[in-house]
Amino acid sequence: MGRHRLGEFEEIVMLTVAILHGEAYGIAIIEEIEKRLNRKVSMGSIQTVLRRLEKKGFLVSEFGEATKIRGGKRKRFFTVTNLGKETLRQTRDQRMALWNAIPKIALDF
Amino acid sequence: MPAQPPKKALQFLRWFCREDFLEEIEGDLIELFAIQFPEASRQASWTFFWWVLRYFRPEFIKSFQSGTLMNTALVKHNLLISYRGFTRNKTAFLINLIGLSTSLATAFFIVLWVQSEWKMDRFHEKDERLYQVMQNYQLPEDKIKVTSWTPGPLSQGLRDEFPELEYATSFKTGNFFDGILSASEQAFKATPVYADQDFLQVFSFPLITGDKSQVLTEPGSAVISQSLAKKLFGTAFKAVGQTVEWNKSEGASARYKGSFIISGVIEDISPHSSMQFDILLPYQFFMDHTWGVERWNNHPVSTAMILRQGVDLSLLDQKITQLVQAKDGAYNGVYFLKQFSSQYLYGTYENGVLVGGRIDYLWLFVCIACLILIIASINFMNLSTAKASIRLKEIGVKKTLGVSRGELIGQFITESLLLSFLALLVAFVLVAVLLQPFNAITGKQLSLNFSLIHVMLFTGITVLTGLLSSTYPAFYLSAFKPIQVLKGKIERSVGELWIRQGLVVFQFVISIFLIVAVLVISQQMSYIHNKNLGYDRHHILSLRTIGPLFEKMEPFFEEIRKLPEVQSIANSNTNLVACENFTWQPLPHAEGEHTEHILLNVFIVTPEFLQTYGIQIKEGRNFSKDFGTETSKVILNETAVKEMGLNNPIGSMITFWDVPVEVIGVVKDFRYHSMYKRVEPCIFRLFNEGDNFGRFIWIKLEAGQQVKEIDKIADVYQQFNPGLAMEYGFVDEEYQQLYESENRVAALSKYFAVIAILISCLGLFGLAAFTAEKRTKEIGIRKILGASEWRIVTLLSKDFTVMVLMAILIAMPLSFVIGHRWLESFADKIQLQSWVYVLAAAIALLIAWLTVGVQTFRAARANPVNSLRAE
Repeated sequence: MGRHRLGEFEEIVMLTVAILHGEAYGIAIIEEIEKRLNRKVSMGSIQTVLRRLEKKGFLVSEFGEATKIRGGKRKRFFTVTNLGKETLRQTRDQRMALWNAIPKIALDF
Repeated sequence: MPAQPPKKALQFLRWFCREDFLEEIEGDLIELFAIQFPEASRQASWTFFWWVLRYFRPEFIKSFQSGTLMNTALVKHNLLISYRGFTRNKTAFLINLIGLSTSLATAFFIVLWVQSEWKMDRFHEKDERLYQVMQNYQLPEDKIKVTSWTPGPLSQGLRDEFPELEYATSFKTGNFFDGILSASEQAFKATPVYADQDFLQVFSFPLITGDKSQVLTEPGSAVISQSLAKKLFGTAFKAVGQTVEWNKSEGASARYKGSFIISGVIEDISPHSSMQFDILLPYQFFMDHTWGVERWNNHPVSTAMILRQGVDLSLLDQKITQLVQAKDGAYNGVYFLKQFSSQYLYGTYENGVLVGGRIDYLWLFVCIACLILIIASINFMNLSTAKASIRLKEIGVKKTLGVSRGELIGQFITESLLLSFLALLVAFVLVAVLLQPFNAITGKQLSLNFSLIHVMLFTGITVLTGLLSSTYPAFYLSAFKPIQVLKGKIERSVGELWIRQGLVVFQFVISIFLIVAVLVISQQMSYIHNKNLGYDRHHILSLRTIGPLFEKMEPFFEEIRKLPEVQSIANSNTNLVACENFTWQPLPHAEGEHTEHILLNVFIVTPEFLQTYGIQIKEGRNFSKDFGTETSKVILNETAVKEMGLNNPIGSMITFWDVPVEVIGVVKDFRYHSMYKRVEPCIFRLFNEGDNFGRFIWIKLEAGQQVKEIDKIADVYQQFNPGLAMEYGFVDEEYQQLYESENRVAALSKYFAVIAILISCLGLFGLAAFTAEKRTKEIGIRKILGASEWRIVTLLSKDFTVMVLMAILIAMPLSFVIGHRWLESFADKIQLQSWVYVLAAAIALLIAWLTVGVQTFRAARANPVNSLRAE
């Protein structure tokens, strides 16, 4: 359990990568997060997190095609690895377990 | 065509960004730019720049290690070579180490001192808006005197009329008011400040308990310092609410006497405050007990304020002047505001114009620090270039093996940096050891606390010195051509010799200049100390009255007069040496509206005062009991007579403090201020009948055996002030204290001059040793051919003598001009005499000869067989 711990931001980024399914590169991820969570994210921090997750083996990346709008530079697309999927699932299960453990009365208003 | 992002930004990005990130980042940025461009084309470029800048952080910056300087093997090699160099040339190494560490230690001391001076009074929270009210008094002959004294009710007036300021406070300082604070059967001497309710709002003296807006509002409340609170009550918190007695032991009619309830306790005053006190007493109390404080035409107190943001200073200056003029029609001065913290460093005015202050000494010492560092660096440069021939082979071999010039330069820089850091360690030891004596000379409480700023400053200075001393040798040595070097041929350019000699000359110019400076300063100081001031300041004991003695002054005087060694005893309201009691006197001939005024220093005295001080009477007579009560009679000095325009002063009537008085005498002018000031007009009058005497008691003693006499006086004092030790001083000592900063500068400059000369001589010693060593063969041959030892000594010292003589030629005019300028700041000064220069030159030459002589004699006496046989 310990080695699969994810930070909050890391989790969001990984989920977004999963949502975008094959179309996940820097700008697209930012836009998706902005759209869904109404949260401002800077390019630099996204790139740092993506690299970190790749190093941990939760993501893999490959270059796409060069496009004109990017001044002839290729996009780097990210996808979630099996390890990543497993970690995401574990994180969710842990959360659910915690939710379920709350006695009913504590959340009644 | 799609929009182009700014090229400069892209170039910058490509330069610093890691290769594996670059493509992705660049693409993303360009894409974002393309999205934003149609919306706001102008802004997009700037935004792009901003984006690029945000990537400029460690995760995205590529490694710039190219392997020249940072290569560890090379660094190791350089360190090893440096170490071997040090061990091979122990003399040069020691000379450099001693020179550098002494000069670094000097520089560190100066840094500590400058920093502490710089911090003075800047700790107040609203420092940049904290202003003090100053004024220009118009004196006769278009002279202007600047003071910080203001009318007593000014702060109230400011508060009522000017919304531009947040807080204003009037306060009265001065150890003149020192008194005794007692509570629970304990009593301690304390220095008060009389302050009105906003004092702690204006000045940030932090309170331990109490609310700064409340503690001074009640008329009977007082704030004491933490250490005083501890002494009286044990802790700060116990003190609050307690009653303390101020000057309780003084008699019923004593002026400053009362009981107060402690409303707050402040932390002990920081040594970085120019205002030092132990207790804050209510301003109203001071007003109630001092004559004339409530008057607008009297200027006894200081006023400071916190301005609001963005207030027009010059407008406010005018408004304050107008306010005072509205209250006092005769006022013809000009008020202005000055940042409170700037007064400490920039406090000297000449005829109304700011001319500097302590800041001059700060600059002086910063310059001295730089000069001493340069002298030590020059030693390093000279010794390493002079010894170049020893390292020629090493450089040649390295170069043929393909070592680049940059790497060689790196090696020399490493060597000198290593030396500098070794010197830094020694310097720290020196500073730690010598900090106490240094504090004693400067009167500061400096300490070596390793704050970040100190570490940075000291490391910075060390690195700078290391680089400074290594640049010239590094470039000079690394420029040799390998073929010539290995063949053993080396063309020594004339320029190189010139540089080396020029540097020695420069060192000696500085040294001679400092010798002259020390001589001039000490001459001027001894002139000041021995100058005839128009009064006799020797053998006068000075006491401050406190305690019950106040009530029994006359009987005390009687007792003292009975002592055989006492010539006379007198009392006055102010100190003659540093008079701080003056009034605004209307001129007698100005009829009706008194538009013209002069500043008059007021001495309220007992009849024996003039006699005690040996002040000579020019016309008329002294006060005397034979004439009955003489409280309506006054005595003036010559300047006062002149400025008031009295043709026949004796017997003429003038109005003084709204009462007509008769002039009965005129005294010769005497100097009662420091030598920076001209003689100001002054007036003497007697204490009113039934009034209290002043705080100052003067006892003129016969010369010799003072210790015994003082014991006797102390015995009498004990009878009148039981339980209180007699605190006393001598007038001549107090006079010297006027020149405290000059005395310190004089003392410090002596040390610095000695250090500069020592370091210069170390360098000269090294050079002489080297020359002698290089010329051993020549000396040997000369001796075989019959040259006498003396001839060889002169031969070897000739070059050095010429250098020192040149330094003398350059240093003389320089020191003349600067010495002259320094002396100009004194009203009374010595003439610059030629023997000072001759002496300085002689000292420099003598020291240089001694230094060189040791080496040359050894070389000249050596047996030529030894030097010629060695091959």
